[in-house]
Amino acid sequence: MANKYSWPEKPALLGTSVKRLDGPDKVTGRAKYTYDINRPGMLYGKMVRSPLPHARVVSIDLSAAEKAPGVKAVLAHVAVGAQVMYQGDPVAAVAADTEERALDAARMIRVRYEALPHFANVEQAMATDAPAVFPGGNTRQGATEETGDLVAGFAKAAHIVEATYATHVITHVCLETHGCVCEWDGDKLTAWISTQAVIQSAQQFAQALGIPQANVHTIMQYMGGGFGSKFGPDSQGIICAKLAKLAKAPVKLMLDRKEEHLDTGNRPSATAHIRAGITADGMLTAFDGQSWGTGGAGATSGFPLPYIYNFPTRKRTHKDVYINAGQQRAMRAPGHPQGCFLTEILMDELADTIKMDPVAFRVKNLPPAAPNAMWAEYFARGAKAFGWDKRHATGDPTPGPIKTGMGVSAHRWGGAGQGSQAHVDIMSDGGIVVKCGTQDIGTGTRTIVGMVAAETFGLPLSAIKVEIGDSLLPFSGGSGGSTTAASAMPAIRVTSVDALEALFAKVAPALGTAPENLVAEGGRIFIKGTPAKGLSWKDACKLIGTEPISVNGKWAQGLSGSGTSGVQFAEASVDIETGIVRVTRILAIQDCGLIVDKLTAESQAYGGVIAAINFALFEDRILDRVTGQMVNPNMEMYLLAGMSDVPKIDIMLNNMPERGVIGIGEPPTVSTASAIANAVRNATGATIRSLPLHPHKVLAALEQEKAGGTN
Amino acid sequence: MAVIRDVMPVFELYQPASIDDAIKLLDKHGADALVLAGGLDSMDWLKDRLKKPKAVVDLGQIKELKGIKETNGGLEIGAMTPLSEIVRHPVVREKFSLLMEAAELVASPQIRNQGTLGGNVSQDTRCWYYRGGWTCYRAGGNICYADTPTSVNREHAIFDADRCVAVNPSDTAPALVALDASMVIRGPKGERIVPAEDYWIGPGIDITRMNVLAPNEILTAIRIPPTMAGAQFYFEKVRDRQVWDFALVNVASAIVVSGEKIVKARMVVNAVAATPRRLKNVETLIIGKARNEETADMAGKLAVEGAETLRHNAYKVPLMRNLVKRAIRGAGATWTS
Repeated sequence: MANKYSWPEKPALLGTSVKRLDGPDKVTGRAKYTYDINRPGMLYGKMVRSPLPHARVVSIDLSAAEKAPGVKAVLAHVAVGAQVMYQGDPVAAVAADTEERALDAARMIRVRYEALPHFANVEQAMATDAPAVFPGGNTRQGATEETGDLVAGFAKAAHIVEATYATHVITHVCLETHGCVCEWDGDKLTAWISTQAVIQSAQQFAQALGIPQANVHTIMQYMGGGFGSKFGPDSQGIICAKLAKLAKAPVKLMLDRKEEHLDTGNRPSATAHIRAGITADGMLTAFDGQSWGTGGAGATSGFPLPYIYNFPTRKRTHKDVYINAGQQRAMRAPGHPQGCFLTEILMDELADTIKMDPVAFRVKNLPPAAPNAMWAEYFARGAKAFGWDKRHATGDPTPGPIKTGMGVSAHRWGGAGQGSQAHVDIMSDGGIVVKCGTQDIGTGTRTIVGMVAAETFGLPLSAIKVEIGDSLLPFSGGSGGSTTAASAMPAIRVTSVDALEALFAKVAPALGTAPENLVAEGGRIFIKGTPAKGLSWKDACKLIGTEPISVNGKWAQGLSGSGTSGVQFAEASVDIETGIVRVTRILAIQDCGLIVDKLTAESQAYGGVIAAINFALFEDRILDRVTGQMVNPNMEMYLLAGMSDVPKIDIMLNNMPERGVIGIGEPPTVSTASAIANAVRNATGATIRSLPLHPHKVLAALEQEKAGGTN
Repeated sequence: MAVIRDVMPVFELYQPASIDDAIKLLDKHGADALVLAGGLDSMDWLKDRLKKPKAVVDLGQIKELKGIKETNGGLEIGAMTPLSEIVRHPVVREKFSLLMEAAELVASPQIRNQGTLGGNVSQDTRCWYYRGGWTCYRAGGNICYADTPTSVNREHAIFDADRCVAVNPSDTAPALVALDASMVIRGPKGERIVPAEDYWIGPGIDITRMNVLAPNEILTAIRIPPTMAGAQFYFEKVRDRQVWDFALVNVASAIVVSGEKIVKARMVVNAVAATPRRLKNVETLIIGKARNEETADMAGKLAVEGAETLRHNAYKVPLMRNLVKRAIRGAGATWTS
């Protein structure tokens, strides 16, 4: 039901394309990222990490490093006798007056290890004769999920597809690496930190360092990507603070690219052996899947399976497998890209058993439509816009080595909000400051905070001063789960509406009316229906007097929603003589409730799609089986798309203002890889059931297909 | 001379202004010196601290190493000439466009502006075990990490491996062999000319070097004779991404056709062995034959005879076979007719 806080029915700004407030600062270099922070007398920190995937620390000798030139602090992060569980596990650290001297000193720290047995892949860890590497077992079997009578389900099936599907481990590859600058004043800590959770980082610093949270001030004004891997100080942040305390000087500790790959999270692998049944007229009947995956050393690897489609009978078991590699962290829609791929490739194989169109087949097996489950509509809209009617059956009949195909996939996500607080000041000179302890992790939060306030006050975006990214500001949650917009925007709206009401109370007497008769639009405050009877914003604010309007507010029900759906179409061409896959077109259809800034919302979709092209075609964290070392911990051999690899991408956002604000950061990255893999299958007739689609794998699949098919 | 101190190890930097001075410096420092051309690869070695030379000899100030000269229907290209200059050069484009195509597919525009032809042909292998700092044969150790039953070796050799299975990653190298180029090398004893084909050496000859340059020698120029000027050229590079990446396999061919028959041919494949692999048997096979699918098929099959694959690189066999076929088919080979 509409109330005074409800989103405006005819917004002036919301839903339009507005350029980022901080765009000019970013492109001119005025924007200061954590990496750019320099403090007087600042030292540089460097960590020493385990070169071995599993070992016991026999001794740590810091003496040479302590005596090295320029060194101000040295510490051991682990005790002698402790075990390191992966290559890159932190062991010790130094701080010195220059980065070079810190590096030199780090090299002088002598750590002796006793190598212990390790696993570099799930096969080694799952082997029946595997040594006990992890306390409590090398694997953890999850509970069995079961719905309906599976035997009866398979009995109804006219066709059964049985195969193993898999996705691989990729790392977050944030352009700005993890790290911070820590500075102490007595027992008070200030930390400039590259984080998705500025307030929660303060809390974590306090807990780890044993100081009151009130003594910690964290700041994050700009950051170069987190994707789920930056929710706290981590070991490097705590080590940085400890070094700064020891050295009695500010310390900057930013990780290098190798450390990023090894120790700042990754997307777990996922493998499933699946049997699934389908009736002759294309109804799913049963799904039986045993899945496993690895999130590294002692971390989980869960994901939804089957994904989206309605299998009336289903059974699923999952096993977490531990290997000696850095632990997984949330990565852009955790679990969903994996579950989506494993299900969606199977869906195309099932459709082919009865030669049914993949779109029609999917639509036939969807759960009931709902505002957060709009797939049927999106499949239809997308098929029309994409030219799906031109799609050939599996295997491009065109002669010659270049085969082209189309694929489709669907996805879902949450994106609900809660709990943000905000503060708005309106000064007598007309100035407005909006404060919220949320953060802009590159998504455009700073801009949309300003837009919601500007919309409420009937002013241009330039009239609003936005303050975010600081732990001293009103509480807001970490930016994960696509919750930022849905949490912060309602808080900004509520607080701005309350501030405007307070202003109306000051202005109403001068206009000879009651406050409830006033509106703020187009830079003026006036009597509703009589624009002439009013004041400019500036003149109205002169009535505020010396004490500014100062209002606190918080997130309220009804202004945000939860649950989104999306469908993506991909077109790819495959050179069957070289194995090279080129994605030529992507269409992404996505809803996100009320669109705040169309431009930054689309930008999230573009970014998500490109990240998923990387997942599909390029990225792969490769560990050597014998040594457990990552062989490609850089950006030459760990592949990310270049400009030439990015196709035409069309975004169709479905604005659903009645649902309130819902986050969009994650969902657009879920189904792209599956759609691409299905397009490759449609092009070549060969089914590749695992990612990435590297040329060697494509060629191998084609050779296998020639030798008698993959089914 | 200046002392550089960055995250790189400390070294003395020399910037000689003449080839003679450069040779003297190299002769003096021997194996302790690193020759710096465009610096694109050298800087990585230094920053990774995998090479710790006492002296770095920067060839960037030597004017006589730069530029392209016309010589009796051919070209002499200074070793320090940037790849982008080669791509732009009118004679390269007109008569030796094979080299233009190869040079243009190297890395990225920035790298082609800074990277030199001499550096591109003399560069070290990209083997990720070797580059990761593992003390393998090539790095002076006594093991090959890339050649075990479980190694990750998708990018490694299918020919002529000898303990080390690394490959030559250069794009311009096979083009130069196909153009019958020769390499001008200067050392303390003067100049020597080496046919491009003999410039690169495999691990059987020296497992720590990729080419014949002694520590006190530098490559000063590359001479391209008129032999293959204006021939029908074909260059193709297959790589994961359409920018930056080194070749998984590349092919360079120069074919002269008279009437319907091939009368002259030079065909070279790289990234399949430690040296660019000239396919003399294929050349012999196709002489006198028409440039058609039948010849292409035969050539492709012959080209990969004797290939020995590792755990993850079997795909290089069909890939190389197909690239050789395409080279015979010629321009437009990629696309359906």
